[in-house]
This record gives sequence, C-alpha cells and structure tokens, in this order.
Amino acid sequence: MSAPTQVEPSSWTARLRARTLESMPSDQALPDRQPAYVASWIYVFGVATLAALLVVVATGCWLALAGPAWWHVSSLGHFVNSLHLWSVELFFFAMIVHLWGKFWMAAWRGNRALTWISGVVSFLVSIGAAFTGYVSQTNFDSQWITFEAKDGINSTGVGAFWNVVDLGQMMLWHVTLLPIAVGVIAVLHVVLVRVRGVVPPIGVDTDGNVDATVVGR
Amino acid sequence: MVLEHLSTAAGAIDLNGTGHYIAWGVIQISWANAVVVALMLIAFGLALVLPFPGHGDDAPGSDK
Repeated sequence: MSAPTQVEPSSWTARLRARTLESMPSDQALPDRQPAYVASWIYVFGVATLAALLVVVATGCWLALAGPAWWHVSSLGHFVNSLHLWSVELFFFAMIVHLWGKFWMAAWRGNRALTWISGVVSFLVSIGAAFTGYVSQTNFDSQWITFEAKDGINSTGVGAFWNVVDLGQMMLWHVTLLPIAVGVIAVLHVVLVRVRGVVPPIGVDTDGNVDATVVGR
Repeated sequence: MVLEHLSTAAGAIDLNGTGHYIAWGVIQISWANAVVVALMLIAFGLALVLPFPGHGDDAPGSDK
C-alpha cells in the first residue's frame, strides 16, 4: 500500500488557511508565555500605545454618535471630548517612547523589516489623524489651527485636493479614512510582531541566551 | 512664596491661556510641548533602568 501523497489544496480559502497556520501557529497568535528579556519596562510601551488607541477609538465613536452640539455644551460631552484628547496625547507619548526603544534596539533585525516599516507608516498616518482632529473641533481653536496650517499644507502642493479649510472634508478624513487606516496598519503591525516574535535585545538570541560573538566584541 | 513660584510655573504650561515659548536661535517650542518631550525622555530613561516587577528566575510567564 503506498503512502498517501500530499495534495496541494485547490481552493484559495484552503491555501490561505494553510498559509496562515504555517506562518502563525495558534500558540504564537495569543501566547501565554514570553521570552525572559520581555520582562522590561521598555517592552510595555507598545501595548500601552494599543491600549490608548482603544480609548481613542471608543471615545471617538461616542463623540461621532452624539455630535458637536453635545460635546461643546454638556458636561458629559466635555468629559468625553477631553478623554478623546488626552488618550491621543498618551497614544503619541507611548508610541514615541516605543519608537525610541525599538530604534535603539535595531528592532528591524531578524527579518522584521516589515514590522518596523508598518510601525513607521502607522506613526505617520496617526499624525494625519491627529491633525485632522485638531481642525475638526468646530471651535475657534480649530479655526486658528486651520488657518495657521493652510499655508504650510498648500506650499507642499497637496492643498488642491486636500483642503484643510474644508471642514466637511477634514471631518470625514478624521472619522472614516484615517481611523480605518490606523486601525488596519496597527492590526498588521501586531500580527507581524506575533509572526516574527518580539525582537530580543542586541547580543541576546530569541531563546534568551547571550550571543558571545556580539557581546564579546 | 512657594505657591507663587508654582503658580508661575503652572502658568507657563497652562493650555487654556496664551502660550509661553522657549526661543533658542532657530528653535522655538512652547513650554507645554517642551515639558511633554522632557517627560518622554524621563519615561524612556526610567524604562531602561527600573527593574520590572516579578522579574526573576522563576517569575510566572517567563521562559527562563
């Protein structure tokens, strides 16, 4: 009796499932153990960024549901508006410390270039999301910021199709396109971290052993 | 006297009032933003040197 031959799945769903399971086994997707070197405060700032992003999205949804007439006048509206602002402040605070940590750790090592690049893109798109938030406040502050920014934006040449004084356009970018982009890139970033694993410190391999060829130099 | 100094320092980073700026050659930054940058640097430095709680040879969740 001959041994069963490995048959290549014919459907794209089966191939995608096989590819997904191959690149990320279930214990790697949601692990309950991490390498010893992860027990450091510098590894906390990535997940702190994600936690802040969840609060940003949740408070943003609340603001979008209730509208400017609510967030400008009611006490609860002011509170949720403030939560949205300060969670964004914490989001950028944690993301920049995370960025510094990963930069000095050369976190693109070990086939992690795409993880690094997705983090950089996420950072840049987040700046756009925050900026459109500042110009969508519908108050004198947003008017001031918009008119201070328009000359700078127009000087780059994108003002013809990205008009910062158009409140409707900025608001729609802020509540739809940019949050979706940040969310998708953040998910991709986390998936890549899970696939490739958390980057070890320089001079330590992924099992936590000291690499004498690096440390001994 | 101390309260007066604290009040002056708080005024420099008061986000509801007129901004106060540090002007140093071509560099210009508000005191509020400078304070945030300083806090990020402090957080980064502390994250590198402070021991992580529960970190030990038999710490739960550790491979080592």
